[in-house]
Order: sequence, then structure tokens, then C-alpha cells
Amino acid sequence: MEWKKKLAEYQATPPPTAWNEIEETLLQDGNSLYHHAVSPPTDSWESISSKLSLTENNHAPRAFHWPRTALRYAAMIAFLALATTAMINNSFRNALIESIQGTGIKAALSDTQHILIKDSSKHKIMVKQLPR
Amino acid sequence: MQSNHLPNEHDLIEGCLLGNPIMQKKLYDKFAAKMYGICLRYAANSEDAKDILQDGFVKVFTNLIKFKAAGSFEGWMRRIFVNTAIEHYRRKNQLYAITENQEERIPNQEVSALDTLEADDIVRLISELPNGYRTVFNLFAVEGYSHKEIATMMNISEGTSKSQYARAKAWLQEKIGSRNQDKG
Repeated sequence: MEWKKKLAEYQATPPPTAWNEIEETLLQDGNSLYHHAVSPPTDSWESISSKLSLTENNHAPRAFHWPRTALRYAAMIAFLALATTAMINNSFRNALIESIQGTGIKAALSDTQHILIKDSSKHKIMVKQLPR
Repeated sequence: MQSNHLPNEHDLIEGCLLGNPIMQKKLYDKFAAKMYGICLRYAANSEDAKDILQDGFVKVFTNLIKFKAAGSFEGWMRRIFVNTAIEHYRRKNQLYAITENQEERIPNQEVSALDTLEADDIVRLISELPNGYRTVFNLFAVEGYSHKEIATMMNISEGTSKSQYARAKAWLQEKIGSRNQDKG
């Protein structure tokens, strides 16, 4: 019978009682070994603080984390905008240049008083000269 | 004027996050003894324990931003030190010097270890264990991790974790037994 064989094996080598006691104590929450504390060597803090200052010199402090992230995103957006502009076809680019260098800007820069009126139906900038 | 009272844990963490060296020192003073106790249990000698303590604290300070206040801070620190100890021996390739074997039968020795051993004595005995045995023993018997968790942490199989624990037990029992015989 299988169970008899197992029982015989168990009786031949029963679990060591002393060990079971140790194991039980160790596994209990709050056991002495878990909370065992020893004063560290006196020079440990000096080594830690010098290692820390070395590490901190290689990393920006926490106060600079968010501006750095913001700058990173701004750079990404600028890059995307440039890439998109470069991909726009020539005619649109020419129109864009024309609108920048066109009459609207010229009028605004001349010493004649002008107001800019946007004609929503044609999407063009109209210039109207005002009497002095 | 500087006050002498010990700031609470939350203030200590906040201070350390701002890189305040006084707060860092106070945090160290508060936890150093407990963490060194852990290091001694996982290390083969006091030099290794010192290295693990230093590396562990540097990791605590540099990773403090990742601490979620929902859990215990001491528990979080404890995990960092345990992982640092595992890494320490993994770096030295000393963790897996033991081959995978079936669990061995533990010799029966009637020893009243609890009556004769203090925590310091047990720690000294544990530090004499081979690296792999010692790490598994600490993780299972003292920290309370399961063999499955240990297997993941140490990148070994569950069977290896069990067998190393059994061997560690056998080794410790033998040492305790011979120690008691010497005393007797």
C-alpha cells in the first residue's frame, strides 16, 4: 500500500523538531531576524554622500524636470511643423510667401495709414486706404 | 535656529526629493541600522555588506521619486536592499554556482537551537552559507517570499529555489548541531 510506504518513510526520517521551531519563528511576522538591526560602519555615510553628489552632478535636479520635458515637447512640435512645411507642395508655399511678402505687409510697413480687412468670401486680405 | 526634533517620514521624503543633504542624513540615520542588518544577512562578509549598504542607499535616494506613498516606505526600502544584494552577487557571477538538484532529505538532528542561538549568532551562521543558498534562505525563511516569487527575482526555476532552500536548511542544521556538540 502506497500510504503505508509513505508512513514508513516518514517514521524513518521524521522532520527535525528543532528546525521546525526555527522555521516557525522565522516565518512569524515580527521575528527577531526580520527586524535584526546592526549599526553600520561609521564611514558609510561619507561614502554614500560622496557617491550621491557624483550621481546628482550627472543628473538635473527635480526642479528642472518639467521645463526639460516642456522643452523636449516644444522641440518635437517645431520639428514636426518644419517637416510638415517642407512636405507642402510648391504652389501653396508660393502662396504663403506671396501672402507674407504681398501688399498687406507692404501696406502695413508703409507710412500711409491703412486698415486691413479680411474678405471672408474670397479668403484674401484687402487693403483699404484711409484718408489722412 | 535649527530644531532638533526628528521630522516625520513624509517630511523626510519631501526633503530628500528636494536634494536636502540634512534630510538625506536624517533618513539614513533612521533606517541605516535596519538596512545594514539586511545587508549582513545577504552578504558573505562585512565588506560586501558595506558595499550593498552604500549602493542600496544611493538607489533609494536616486529612485525616491518612484516611491508611491500608498505602501510602507520601509517595505519599499527593504525591497531595494534585497534586490541590490541579489544584483551584487549576480554581478560577481557567484549566485548560481550550485547546480540544480532534487530536494535532499534533511538529516535528523535534535538540537534546541532557539535556546542557544541569538539573532546575531544566526546571522553569523547565515553569512557562512554559500551565496545561492543564503539568498534563497533569506528570501524564503526571513522575508517570506514564495518559491515562485524567488524564482522570478533570481531568474531561476521554482525547483532550484526549493532545492537550494532545502540544502541551506540541512547546512544550517549541521552547523547548529556541531556548535551545540562543541558547547556540550
